[in-house]
Amino acid sequence: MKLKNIANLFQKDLKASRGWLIFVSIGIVLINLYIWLKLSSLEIPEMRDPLMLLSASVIFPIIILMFVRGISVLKSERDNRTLEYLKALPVSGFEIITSKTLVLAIEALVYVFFFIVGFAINLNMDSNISMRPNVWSFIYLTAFVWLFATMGLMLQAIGMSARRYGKIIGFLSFIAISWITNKLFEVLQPLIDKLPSVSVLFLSSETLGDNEQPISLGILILFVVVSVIYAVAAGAIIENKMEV
Amino acid sequence: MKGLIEIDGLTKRYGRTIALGNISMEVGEGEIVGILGPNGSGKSTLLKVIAGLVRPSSGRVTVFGMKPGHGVRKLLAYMSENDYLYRWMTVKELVEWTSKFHDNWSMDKTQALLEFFDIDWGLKVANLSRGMRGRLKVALAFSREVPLYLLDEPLSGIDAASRSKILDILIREYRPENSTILLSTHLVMEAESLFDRAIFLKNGEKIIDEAAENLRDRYGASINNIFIQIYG
Repeated sequence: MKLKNIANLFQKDLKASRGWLIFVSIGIVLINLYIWLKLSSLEIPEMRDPLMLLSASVIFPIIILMFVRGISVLKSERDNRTLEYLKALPVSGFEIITSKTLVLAIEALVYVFFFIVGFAINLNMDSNISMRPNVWSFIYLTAFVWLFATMGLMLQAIGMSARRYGKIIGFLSFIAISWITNKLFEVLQPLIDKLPSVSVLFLSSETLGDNEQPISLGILILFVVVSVIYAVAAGAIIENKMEV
Repeated sequence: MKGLIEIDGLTKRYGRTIALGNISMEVGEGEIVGILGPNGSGKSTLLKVIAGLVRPSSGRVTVFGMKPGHGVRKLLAYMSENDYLYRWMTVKELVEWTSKFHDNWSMDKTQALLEFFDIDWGLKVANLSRGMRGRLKVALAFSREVPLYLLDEPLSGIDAASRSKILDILIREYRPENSTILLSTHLVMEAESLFDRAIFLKNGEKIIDEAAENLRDRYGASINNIFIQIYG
């Protein structure tokens, strides 16, 4: 793999993702702003809970969105016929996928940043609870969200490499890969437990007191390793199977 | 004549459909070869196999002595018949971005070609007419100084003025020394004067592969008339 090629592809892919980055970031900020305004105007403290739940649940559309983005970064190249232009360049499938997964990682980081910051601000409005996220919060959640993006990317590569029944093959692959990933996590659980943990955030409340929230480093490593496996598989499919 | 492209027993199947059936051929340096045939005869598939964009189902293909792939694509310029340019880029962005991948890119040549084709650098690709995009594709291919050019239907679907510019001036004026050009087309009349050699494809099979002059002598007709006789 040539770093120069990856850098050139990355430059193009990042530019192509600008619209998504801006649109989704504004969306997350607006949702959090809406919740913040609602919270500010509340007089009955019990009504805070549904709003905090809403603020926390913003992560679910982000996960789904990143999965769809993983699919769409390849699908849009095919639909716009630009995949042929890309494949006619002297670049390998691995370079194409590396660039796309890096852009997806940046997207994941940006969305996670706005989500965590918004959630923390809204949560800290309650004088009874305070939450202080640290760098690890961003890293863990970004890696988790990125995992779904790379899964989408790989499934799309599988679907596109099949000349017929691409959607069915992609769907069956989705079920198979979800099951394999789940099993992998189960099998590796004892190993994960042995690795040191890091504190991902600090929570303080009247009922629970002050709490560090530790998570094993093994989980982070697993997220990253599985994402890289997905990306390598997608690269191998583009390099060896995909025709334009 | 040194074999730049060597193809032996090439077959490409898509399910039950045979796109190319048992094609064998050799292309040497400095030839302009017309790959001729109606739609669906396998012209595009043949060029894509040579460019490494489509894998053969069976047979052996070597280009510059190598198996087609991204290594080979450093040494050839491929132009698709499809509208495959990044439409959200400006012409300048597309040219600059594409040039970064190629050591053999001549920006002077790009400038001369775009000027000749009346293409504004600042325009978005999406805002160019189809004919202009056709011209831009040719300009991008010929901005590179490579021993092999694969041009897939550079004349189809574009206006007469663009076809004339692409044919009469570009290939004659800008043709690099000793380079080989494989040009597929079903618009034979306009392109036939360029061909050193003509390969006729029908339903994925090669039915004629001969020097253009020999063909004209043998049939006593132009390549275009031979084309009409065969496919008409």
